[in-house]
Amino acid sequence: MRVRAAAAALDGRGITLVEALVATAIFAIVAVAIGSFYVSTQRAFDYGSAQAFAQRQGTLLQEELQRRLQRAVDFSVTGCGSGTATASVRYALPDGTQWCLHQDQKVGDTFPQLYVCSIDGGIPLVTGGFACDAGSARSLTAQSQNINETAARLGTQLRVASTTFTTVSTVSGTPIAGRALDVRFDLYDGAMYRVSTAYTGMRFGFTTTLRN
Amino acid sequence: MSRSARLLPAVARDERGSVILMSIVLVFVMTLLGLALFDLGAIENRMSLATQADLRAFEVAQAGIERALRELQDGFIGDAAGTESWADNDGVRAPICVPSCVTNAYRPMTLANTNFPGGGSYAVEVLLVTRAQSNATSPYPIGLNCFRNAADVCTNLVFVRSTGTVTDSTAGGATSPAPAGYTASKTIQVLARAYAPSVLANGLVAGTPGALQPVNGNVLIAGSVQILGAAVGGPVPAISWNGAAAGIRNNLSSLTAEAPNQILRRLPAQQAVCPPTATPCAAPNAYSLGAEVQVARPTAVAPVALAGSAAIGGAAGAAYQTGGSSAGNQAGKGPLDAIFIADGCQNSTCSDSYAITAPSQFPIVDMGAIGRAYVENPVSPFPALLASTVQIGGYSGTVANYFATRAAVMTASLAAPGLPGSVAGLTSDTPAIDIQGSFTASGGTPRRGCIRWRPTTALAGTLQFRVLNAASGNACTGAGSIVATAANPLLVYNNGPWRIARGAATHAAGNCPGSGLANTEICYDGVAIVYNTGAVTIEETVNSYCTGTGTCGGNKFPTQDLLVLLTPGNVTVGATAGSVARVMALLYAGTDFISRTAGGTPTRIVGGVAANRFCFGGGGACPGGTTNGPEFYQVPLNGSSANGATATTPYDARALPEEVLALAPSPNGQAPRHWRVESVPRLWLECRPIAPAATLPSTPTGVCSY
Repeated sequence: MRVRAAAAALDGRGITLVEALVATAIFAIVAVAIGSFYVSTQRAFDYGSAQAFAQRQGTLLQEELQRRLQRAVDFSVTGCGSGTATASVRYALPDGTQWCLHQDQKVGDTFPQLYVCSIDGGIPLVTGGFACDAGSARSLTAQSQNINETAARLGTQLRVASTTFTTVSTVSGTPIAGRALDVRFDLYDGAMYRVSTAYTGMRFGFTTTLRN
Repeated sequence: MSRSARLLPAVARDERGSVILMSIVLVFVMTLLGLALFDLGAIENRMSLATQADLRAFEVAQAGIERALRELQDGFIGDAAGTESWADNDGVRAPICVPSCVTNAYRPMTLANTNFPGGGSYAVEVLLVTRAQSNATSPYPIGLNCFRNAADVCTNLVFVRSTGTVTDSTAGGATSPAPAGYTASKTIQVLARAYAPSVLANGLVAGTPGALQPVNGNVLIAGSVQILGAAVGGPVPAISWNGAAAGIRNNLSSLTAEAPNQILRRLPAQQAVCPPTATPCAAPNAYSLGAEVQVARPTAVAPVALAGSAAIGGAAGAAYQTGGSSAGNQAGKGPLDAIFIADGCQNSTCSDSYAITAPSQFPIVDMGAIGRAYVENPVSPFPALLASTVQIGGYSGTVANYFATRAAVMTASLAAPGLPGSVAGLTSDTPAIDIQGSFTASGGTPRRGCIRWRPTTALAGTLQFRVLNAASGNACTGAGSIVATAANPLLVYNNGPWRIARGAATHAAGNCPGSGLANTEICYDGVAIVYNTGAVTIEETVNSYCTGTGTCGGNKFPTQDLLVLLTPGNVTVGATAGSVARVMALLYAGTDFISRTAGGTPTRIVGGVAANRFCFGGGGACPGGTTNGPEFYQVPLNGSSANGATATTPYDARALPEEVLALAPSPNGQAPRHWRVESVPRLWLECRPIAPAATLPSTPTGVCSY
C-alpha cells in the first residue's frame, strides 16, 4: 500500500485538470476569506482609530471652548461671524476684546467648521450684526487634522454640524446665580463608522459658567 | 516524474501539516490585532481618566478659591472694628502665610484639611497688593479702591491662587484618582476684595415695594444703585426714566458747577485710578465712585427702561479738585464699573434686560460687560429695622431693639418746641439748647451723649454731637466731653418724628453755611446715629460742618461729620418747601423715600440712602410727584488711598460706625456681616498649562498674567 502511494507520488503523470481547478478554487476561496478578514479587521481598526481621533479632538475642542468662555465677562447668543454662520455666540474677555464663536463653511472649506474670530470691541452686545474682523477668523477644527499622524493616514476631514449655543439660567427648574452657556455640536471626521448618511457625527455638549 | 519533483526531498513534497502552519500564522495575526485593539481601548480609557482627572483638578482648584475667600472673609471680619486688614500678618486670622504675606511674591496660605473628598487636594497662595498696583492697570489691571495701611499696602485687596492636584494615589480614600503615572494639576487665580455691603454705604438701595417700581420717578444718580426686589403688585420695571436729567453716572461732575463748591470741599479727596481698558494708562488719571447697577428683579419685563436721553454711564466727567485733594484735577470716570441685571439674559426672547428708546445711548460699562446676572440667588431681602437681625459688637437682634435698649432716649427733650421731635421741627430760629442722655456704646461701654444746638456764635446754625466716655457727667460741657467720632458715635433713640425745617433767622456770614444762599441752613458737627419711630422730614439744606471757604480739614463727610437718620416709616426731603439745595446724610426709610424737588432747583442728596421704595416723582401710590428730579451723589469712601493722603487718614468704609456697617442685606437668612468678600469680576483667571515639572511664577505674570 505504502509502496503504491509512493509510486503514485512519483508518478510523472502530474495532476489532472480537475484537481488543479478544485485546488485553485479552494485556494481562491481561502485567499478571499483571508483577504476579506484582513480588510474588515483593518477597517474596524481604522473605524476605531477614527472614532478615537474624533473623540479626542472633540474633547480638546470642548476644553478650549470652556477655557475661552469661562473667562468671559459677558456673552450674547446672537448672530455674529458671518452671514453664513449657522450658529454663533459673542463673548467679551476682561481685556476688552470681543470674540465670536460660530459654525460656518467659509470659502475654501469642504465642510462646515467651528470658527473663532475677533470682532470690533466697544459695541454693546445686544445691538446685533457683527462680522469678523478681517483676517481674524480661525478654524478650531481644521487645524488639528493636518498635524495628527492618524488623521493624516486616515485622510480625515473634521466637520462640525448641528452646533447650538443656549443661555442657561436655570438648572432643573431652579434659577441659578451667574450666567451659563450650553454648547452642543456634532463632530465627524469622515472616517468614522456611521449607519446612515444622516449621522452627522459624535455629539458633544457641555455647560459652562462665566467666572468673570 | 519531473526533474524538479525528483529533486525535492520526500518530506518537502508531503503537503500534510500545512493547515496547522496557516492556523498558527492566522492566530498570530489575530493576536496582534487583538492586542492592538486592547491597547487602543486601554489608551482610550487612560485618556478618558486623564480628562476626568483634569476636570476634577480644575474643580478642586475652584474649591480652594472658595475656601480661601471664606477664610479671608472670616479673617477680615475677625479684626477689630476699624482695623480690618489682610496685610497685618497677625498670625491669628486669615490670611496666615508662610513665612508671611508679602507684596512681591505669592506665599502659601496656611489652611487645615485641604484634601478633597473623592480625591485631590488644593494649595492656596496669597499675594498682597500695593496701593500703586491697585491704582494702575499695569502690571495688573486692577483700578480699584484700596484701603491702604501705613506701609502703603492695600488691606482690602489680595491676589489668591489655588492649585488643584489629582494624583494616581488612592490614599485617603480617593475614589476618582488619575490614571497610573499621571498627575492632573490646574491653577486658578482671582483678586479678592472686601467691601461693606451696608445699604447705607452703597449708594441708593431699594427694597420690594407693594406697588410701582422700586425707583419711581426721574433722578440723577452719581454712584451705585442696588434694587433688591420688584413691586409686589405686578411686573413693572425696577427703573423707568425719561429725560436727559435722569440717569446713572460714575462721577461727581455735576457738582463742579456749584458755587462756591459747598459739597466737594466737604468730601475727602479721591483716589486716582486707571480705568480698566484695553489700553493701560501710564499713570492713574481718573477717580471713580465704583458705581455699579444691580437689579435683582423683575424678569418678566425689562427691569430698566430708559427714554428721552436718560442714560447709564457715559463720557468721562469734568475734572475737578476737591478740597484736600492732591494737586491737579482729575476727571471722573465715564463707564460704570459693572451692571448686573436680573438673570442677565440677552436673547431676543428674553425680557430681563433693558428697554431703551432712541436716541438714548446704550448703557456704558467697563469692557462692555453689560450682561452680568444678579449675583445672588436667592436675593437677600431688604433689611428691616423692626424685623431683621443684625450683629453689632456683642449684640444680636433688631436695629429697633438695639437703639431702644442702648441708645440715649431723648424723646421728651427732642419734642420740645423748636427741636427735631416737635411738629415745627428744628429751624434756624431755634434758640440755643443742650440736651443729654445716657447710652451704651457698641462695645458695651456706658457713655453720656449730648446734642448741642447753637444758632449763633462760633457754631452758628450747627447741631453738635458730643460724647463723654463715662457713665455720668455733663456730656456737653464736662471735662472729657468730645465731639463724637465715627468710632465713638452718639446713639440716640427718638420715639417720634424727626423734622428739620426752614426758619427765618439767618446765620452770620462765614460760619457754617457760608454758601451765599439764604443762611437758614443747618449744619452738624460730629457723628450721630438717630433712630426715629416716626417719619423723618427735611425741608432745609443740611450740611456737614465746615467754616469759611477752606477745605474743611478735620470735618470731612462722612467719616468725621456724619448724621444718620433711621426710621421704619417715610423719609421726606424737599417735598413741600422752597428749594432745598442739599442734604448730606445717611438716610434709611423702612417704607418710602420721597424727594420731589418742590422748589424747582434739584435737591442734591449726598451720602447713602436706603428705602423700600423711592418716590422721586410719579403719583398714584407714590406721594408727591413732579417733573423736577432730584440728584443723588454717593459719598466716596476711598480717600485713604488718595494721592498725598496720609496713611492714617480715615476716609474709607472701615471708618464708618459699626451701626452703619451692620445694616446690610442678609444672604440666605444668615445674620448680615459687616464685610463681604468677593472675587472681583474681570480678574478670575485660569493659569495657562505649564509643563509638569515647571513651577508657577511668583506673581500674576507669565502663564498667570492677565
